[in-house]
Amino acid sequence: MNCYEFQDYISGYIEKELSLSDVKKFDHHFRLCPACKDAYKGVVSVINALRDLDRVALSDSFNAILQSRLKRISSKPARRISRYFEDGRILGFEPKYAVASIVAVVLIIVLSVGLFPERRGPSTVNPIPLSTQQQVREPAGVSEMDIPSTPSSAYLADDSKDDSTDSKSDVHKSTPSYKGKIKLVKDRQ
Amino acid sequence: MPKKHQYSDEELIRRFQEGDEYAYLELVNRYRDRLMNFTYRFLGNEEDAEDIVQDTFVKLYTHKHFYRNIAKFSTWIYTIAANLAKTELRKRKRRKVSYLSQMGTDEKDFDLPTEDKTDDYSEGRFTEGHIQNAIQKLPLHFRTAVILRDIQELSYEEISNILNVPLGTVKSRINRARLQLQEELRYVKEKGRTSIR
Repeated sequence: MNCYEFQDYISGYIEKELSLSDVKKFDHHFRLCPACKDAYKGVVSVINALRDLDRVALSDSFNAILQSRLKRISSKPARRISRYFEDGRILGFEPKYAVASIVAVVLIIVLSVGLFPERRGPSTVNPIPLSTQQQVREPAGVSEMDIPSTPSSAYLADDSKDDSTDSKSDVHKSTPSYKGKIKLVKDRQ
Repeated sequence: MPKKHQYSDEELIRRFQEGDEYAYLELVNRYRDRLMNFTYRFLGNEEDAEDIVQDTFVKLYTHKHFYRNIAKFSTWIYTIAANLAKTELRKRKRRKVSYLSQMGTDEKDFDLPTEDKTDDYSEGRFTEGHIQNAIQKLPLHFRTAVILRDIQELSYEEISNILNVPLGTVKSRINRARLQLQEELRYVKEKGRTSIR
């Protein structure tokens, strides 16, 4: 046994928790090492000193203060939330049943959302055919000469110009050709 | 050693949970001094220790239904007191930090209070103040374990339940705390001898 092991075993030795073989090794090292002997004696005197420490008394007013605090607590009306957790119960149920029911409700909600996928809503579906919509929109639509009215739209317009190498041809590409369509409207008229 | 009582702690807390206020008072009488000693040795200040004992009993009153009859009552009440005492220490630490940060840099050079050197070390006995100082120098987890074992005289199993650490860890913490205490007190003793000469 070396000094480190000896120190690890001091409390076990004092409290008689070591095996017989460890006790023999401990005793052997104790006889040979004066420093460990001192450490052992020091620990024994520390334990005795701790056990002999004076008891600290509470002040005389302790019970009176405690009772006034308890009175204040019991006279206070129960808070809204705490009312649901009275007597170790949640909403009047045993905690395990309360948790199980909350989990069940959450599961039902999650499953029902999964079974009925979110609809896009009626506003996105336009009953008018696409071709008719285009015809109706286009006469009053944007002309190539429109000046951007807001800074953001100006910025966007600038951006589109910057991004393209040939701005004119891009504008023609991005906006549909009106010539044929205007003709179509005229024909209909 | 605790006295033998007509009702066990667990019976009393069960009766208190059923609304018997006398059972609560009996529990307070049984534990007030033990908790005071524990918190005082832990914090090193009587006033704070008493406040923590008050808070512990208020918690017992307001959270009586949180106790389940799977653990010993003593373990439960000591756990509450230990947690409150640790919180108090954290608060103190924060207060100290903010106090130091409010001071100017020149003001930070203050002297530590000098220890009383007139005590008699020659008989190999330590004074109460030296032991208390040495306990305060222990790291928190060593401090709690050694107080519960050597001052409160609780079993290793109870301490293991209170601290929520394995039995082996408790034993090792207690042994290391005792070694650290004997080192500290030996140093104090040697310092005392040289000052007497």
